Amino acid sequence: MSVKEVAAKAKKVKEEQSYQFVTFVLGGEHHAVKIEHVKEVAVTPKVSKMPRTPSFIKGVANVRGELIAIVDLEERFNMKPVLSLNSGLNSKTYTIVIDADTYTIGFTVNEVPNTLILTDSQIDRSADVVEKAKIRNRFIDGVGKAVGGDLIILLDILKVLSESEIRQISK
Amino acid sequence: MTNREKELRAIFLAETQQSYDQISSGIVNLEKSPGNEELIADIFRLLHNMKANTAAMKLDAISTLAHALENVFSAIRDKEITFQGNNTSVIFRGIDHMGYLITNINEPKLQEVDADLINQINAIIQNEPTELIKIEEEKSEFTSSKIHFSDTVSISLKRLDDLLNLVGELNTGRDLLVQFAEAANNPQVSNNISNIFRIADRIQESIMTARLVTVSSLFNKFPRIVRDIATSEGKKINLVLEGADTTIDRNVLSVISDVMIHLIRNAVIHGIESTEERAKHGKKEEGLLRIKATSEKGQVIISTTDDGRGIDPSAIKKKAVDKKLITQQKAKSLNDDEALGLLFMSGFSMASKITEFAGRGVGLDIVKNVIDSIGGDLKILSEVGKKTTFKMSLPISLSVKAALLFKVDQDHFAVPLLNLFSVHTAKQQEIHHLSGELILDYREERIPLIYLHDFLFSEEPNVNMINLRREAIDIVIVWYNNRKYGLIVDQMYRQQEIMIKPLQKPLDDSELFSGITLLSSGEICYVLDVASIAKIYEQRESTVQF
Repeated sequence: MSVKEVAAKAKKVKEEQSYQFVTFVLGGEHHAVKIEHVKEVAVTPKVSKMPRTPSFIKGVANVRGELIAIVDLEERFNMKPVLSLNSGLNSKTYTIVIDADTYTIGFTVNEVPNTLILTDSQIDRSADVVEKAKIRNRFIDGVGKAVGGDLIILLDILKVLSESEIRQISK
Repeated sequence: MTNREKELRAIFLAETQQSYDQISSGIVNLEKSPGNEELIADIFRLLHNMKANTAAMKLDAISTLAHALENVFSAIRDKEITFQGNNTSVIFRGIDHMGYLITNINEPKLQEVDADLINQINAIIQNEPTELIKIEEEKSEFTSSKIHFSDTVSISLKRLDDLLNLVGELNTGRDLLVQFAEAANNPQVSNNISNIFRIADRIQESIMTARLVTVSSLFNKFPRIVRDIATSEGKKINLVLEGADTTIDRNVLSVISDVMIHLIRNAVIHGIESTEERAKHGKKEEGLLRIKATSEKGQVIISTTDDGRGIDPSAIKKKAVDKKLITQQKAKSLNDDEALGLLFMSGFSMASKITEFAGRGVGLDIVKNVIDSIGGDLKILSEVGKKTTFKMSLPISLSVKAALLFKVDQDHFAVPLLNLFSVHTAKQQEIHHLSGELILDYREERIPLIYLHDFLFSEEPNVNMINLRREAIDIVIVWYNNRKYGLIVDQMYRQQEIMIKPLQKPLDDSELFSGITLLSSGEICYVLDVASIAKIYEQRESTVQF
């Protein structure tokens, strides 16, 4: 490829609508959420378990002075945990803090989250596989392909953690 | 003058200045559109209030002037005279003089009625234009080009809440610093930090005080209410109000205002007997209703006592059994005070309408719920034939409370001192198992025990009782609804003022907790809602029995 061609391609990419994501691993699979929903990423502080709440709510943690409910998404999705919060007391986990309109909530991941930019053409919202996955999991927005070729599940995080959803499950 | 009086006076001055400014600009606007009826009505109302308020403060000069001007605007409003021509200058002069008096409100020697001016103002109503021309030539000596600003500002509760919240965080940070200072063992650092400690304390106190009002604003409404209810019931009531200057959080006061009226209504209608009945029992014809507010140990107690017929605990028990609210067995186990607590059960109130203690229970469950919702408590004390007292314990502030801290398993919990009866370290032999229930034998009383570890963290109650095989068992005895409950904790901690943050979505559905507080160590501490715990315990108990 000549320099010109590369530049042309870059320009084309630039013109396309692009989205920024935060990526993380859940149950061994790569997931991502839109960066505008992420308030911050912090090393998980001590989580105080809150009595009489669904088990996927791990409790409340003090993240920089804010008291935030901590959710275990692997448990929420009935995924086989690779390393659960409880078994890995000594290992560092990270909390991704999601800022929705009416609530702030955090969920823990084991590896350092990364950021990723995907353009429209790199996101597949219609493929058979996605459709199939969608039936099983209404929170999937689409599938993206990362530079290394990894497939990434794009989550609609606001749906995952909607209040009614949580209330349904807690009942 | 006490600080409170000074404060009230400052508020009065601010309000007076504000209404003066409104009157003044109103009249300027009226000059531009003399027919504006809305403006005239506004000015009339403001002058009327000014007259009443300044008269109450014994500021006769202002009050007299306001009265004269009020008459003028009353006449303008009724279209007897018009706001125009020569009389406007007299009105302006009157208003200017009012401003002069208000500006110099603290100078008694300047507070004199200007008889000449009052006469001229009065003359307007009589339509005597002759003297006015003379005045027009005079330059008003009262107007000054200096603009006066009030010394007080009004602030929204939301802002105060935000400030209080920030102070809470400041205090958490401060406590952390204190720990560092101790570890660092550096006198200079400790000195500085103890200074910060003191300042943070004072900031918190000031902000809390800013939210406090006296209960008088509520109490002042009672004489009229009692009079109205008594008249319609054909009863004579002597209302005695005590402790009207007790201070309380404005939000708490607004929450309890309806509750108070309900209790007063109950006392007058159902508590105090008719005149004939009172005579028959050798009582004074006039019933006594005593409402008393006191503050003690970080809480405000408001009690409503009537010298009526009292409430018979055995009649309540019988009714509750008849209505199948409790079993016969359970009824037998309740002492008199606990039986009175049955009045607060929902379902009981409706049932009691037609009985001899008619209506004493109507809506009491709602009253109870309202008081629970702000973390207070309501107790009933009664002597049959003599008196009934409803005793409300209320938090002075909603967000900062004195609390007892303890640990259950690895986590920190707190109960507000408001709900606390006592703390007891029990020996093994004081705790008894009674068909799956734990009972504490405590000073001739048998108190139901709730093992918090299981209550909070396990599906089944009292499963891990094996954990209780320890030498000394710490029990926190709390009050709810005339009844005591013992909460078994794993480790007693300490007593401390805590700043309660409400639970955020999506956890705000939880009834067990009234909020969360952050400890100085940065750890989280859940604040238990004693009312919910007692309710869950009672529900569970009754399902076992039926």
